[in-house]
Amino acid sequence: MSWAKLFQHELHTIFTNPAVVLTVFVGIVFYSFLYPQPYAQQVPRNLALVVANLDNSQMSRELERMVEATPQIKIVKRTTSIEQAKEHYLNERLAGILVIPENFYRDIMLGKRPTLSYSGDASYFLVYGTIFEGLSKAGGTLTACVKIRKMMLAGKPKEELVSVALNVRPVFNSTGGYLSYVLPGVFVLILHHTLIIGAGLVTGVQKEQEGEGGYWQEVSAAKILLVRGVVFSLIYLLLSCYYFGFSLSCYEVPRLASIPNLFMIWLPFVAGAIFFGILLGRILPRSELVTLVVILSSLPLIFTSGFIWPIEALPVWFVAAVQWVPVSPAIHGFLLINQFGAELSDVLSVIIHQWLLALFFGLGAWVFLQRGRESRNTR
Amino acid sequence: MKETPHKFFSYLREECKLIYWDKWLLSLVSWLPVLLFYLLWSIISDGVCRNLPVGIIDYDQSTLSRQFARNYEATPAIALESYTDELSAFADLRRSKIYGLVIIPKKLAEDTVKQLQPTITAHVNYEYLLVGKQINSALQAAHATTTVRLDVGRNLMSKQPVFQAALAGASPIGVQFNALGNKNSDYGQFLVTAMIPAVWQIMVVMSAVLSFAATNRNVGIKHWLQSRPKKKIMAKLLPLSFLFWLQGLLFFWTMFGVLDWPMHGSWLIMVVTLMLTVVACLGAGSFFYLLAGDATRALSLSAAYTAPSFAFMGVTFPVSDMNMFARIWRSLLPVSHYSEIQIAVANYSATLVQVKKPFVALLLFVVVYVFLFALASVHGSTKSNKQVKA
Repeated sequence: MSWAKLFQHELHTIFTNPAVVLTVFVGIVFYSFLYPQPYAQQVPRNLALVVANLDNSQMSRELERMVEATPQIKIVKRTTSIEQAKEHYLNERLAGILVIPENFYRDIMLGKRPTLSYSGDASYFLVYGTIFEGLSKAGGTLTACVKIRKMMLAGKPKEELVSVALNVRPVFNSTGGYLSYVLPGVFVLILHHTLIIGAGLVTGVQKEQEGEGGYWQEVSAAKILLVRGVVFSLIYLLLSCYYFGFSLSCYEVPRLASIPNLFMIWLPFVAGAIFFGILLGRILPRSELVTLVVILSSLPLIFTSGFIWPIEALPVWFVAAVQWVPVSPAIHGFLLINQFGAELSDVLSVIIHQWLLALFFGLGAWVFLQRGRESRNTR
Repeated sequence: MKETPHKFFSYLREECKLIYWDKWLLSLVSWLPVLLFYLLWSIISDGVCRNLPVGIIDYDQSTLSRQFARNYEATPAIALESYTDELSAFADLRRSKIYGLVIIPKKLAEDTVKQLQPTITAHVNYEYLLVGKQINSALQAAHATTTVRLDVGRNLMSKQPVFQAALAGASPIGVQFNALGNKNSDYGQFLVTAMIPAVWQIMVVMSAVLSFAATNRNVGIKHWLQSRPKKKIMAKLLPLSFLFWLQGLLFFWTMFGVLDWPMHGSWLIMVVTLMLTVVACLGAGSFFYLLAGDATRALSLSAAYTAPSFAFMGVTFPVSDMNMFARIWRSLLPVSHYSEIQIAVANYSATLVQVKKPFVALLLFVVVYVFLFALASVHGSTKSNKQVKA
């Protein structure tokens, strides 16, 4: 069979399989729209807080205004007792309670150091952290005001306030946006998973139809592997351009890598995923099981890829195990060059790792394609 | 209809046999969920991140600068690594060998004495948002303690010999943060309580698809639906719902009973909620199968439906900040209602009245069954074109 004919057959197989088209083309476009939706606002703002002001002095109201002025917090209820505040918090699902203690103003002026207390659900790290930032800022502002007022009362110059400052500069995702946090990794996972499902389904369906004969049985396993690899790579070249180019820029996620550098990570990634998919399609008894296995693996894989939860805090054996899946080194490599602007030399080990995986799965896929052929011939 | 309960039981027996013979379906309802729950738990069992590598360049090398460095190092979240030049330090930051870089300027001590307000700069990698925020708050806290300590020392030496007064002079207002619900701010633990239901939902939906696919392989789905489709579907889903309900009870009991994570509310509400969630998910899975008409396509649909549900659960990002579309999509996923109830009950001992919204939402998934039965009767009435194997 000529190469051109083989390519034609392969393209026909892919585009006439509704499940493959649904997963690869519809899936990728659908996810690029759906997945960012919950995070479209990037940073939580105006989190609803209830204030229990037990002091009701002018200074306590000033503090309320300072809290209200932060972009992070919005005071939705003001009460004068803790019980009332608690009720509001529970019934209206507010983010937290701020208690300004009794005699707040008097204690400050007497130098007794009153304590503001904030209570909120720490389960939501983003909410809790955001309110922490807002309240610290407001508290800091009031502290400075109080100090200045006291110094002026004591007749001292303002300069005595100075001390060592700490300036924390967020880098690589300077606004702390949630989309820039999850999308670069999740997009790689989506490309990886749809690719495995696509290649796996094509292979799996052909395996199920083995008895009926087909073009794939007339050529060598290596040839099938090569043609399938090239066809899926070309399709994914387009889809990856859509993700890494259009989608990421649409959501204003930074992209620092040059296209040739991206390609150096992309190629072994795609090769590994295609061969892995073909292997799965060959090993699993029925084609639909490819989808099942791949989807069930997504949450464990995303959480062990190192960008949501630090690698240092993961069990060592788990990290070692997921290194066998092409997506893990790929997410790491793409983050390094595209988000942090690392050099190609920094990710050399990642690229070698990826090529080794591609080689491993390529060989595996070849062995199993070959084995399927032999068992048919002996039948 | 001359249905007898006897007939229903024979359908039920059929379905149990089906689960037993389809090894994949059997795995999906037995050991696979347990394995996945265990894996997810072991990923984050550590709960809090400790010893995150952060670089430090100390250009000052004074007693003061070392005091700051020591206090940063003292926080459990951070492990400091010394660098001598910025070039290699920033390169390591880009290679993500370190998550942050603290730079202490020259003349820190001198400027402090001269009251020029020197600034220590910390570059923190916020692409790793969770890590970045933890490093940020750890640094801020350590820094605040250090400066207050310095101020207190100064105040004690000069004017306010009483420690309390010296402290009040240095920091006139204290802010105290109390974590409700999740007392030790164990974020990992909280994530696991959401990840496990999310994976569980995927499995429930997909098990319904696999079960229909198995029936299709055995007798042909159209043929199977020709007589008494409702009874048969109910008989099909009953053992599945029981098994997944057990799985749900297992993970819930393990998390809140065995591991003793905080659970303040009513177990009964959770037991019922778990059941409702299973029923809703099985309905969705069956609906996908009959809509798509074959296993592969149905699984693709189920994947599109369930795979991103974790993002919509409102655990990582607050629901209040989601846009309209995200909220609509979210309300179509049973597990987001489930997790809302779970958090409310476990953290705040919410009563049924307080969780009535998500509870009613779960009940509303019954509507799926109306569509499901309608589809089933359409399938049953069209002529079977599949060869029926005996």
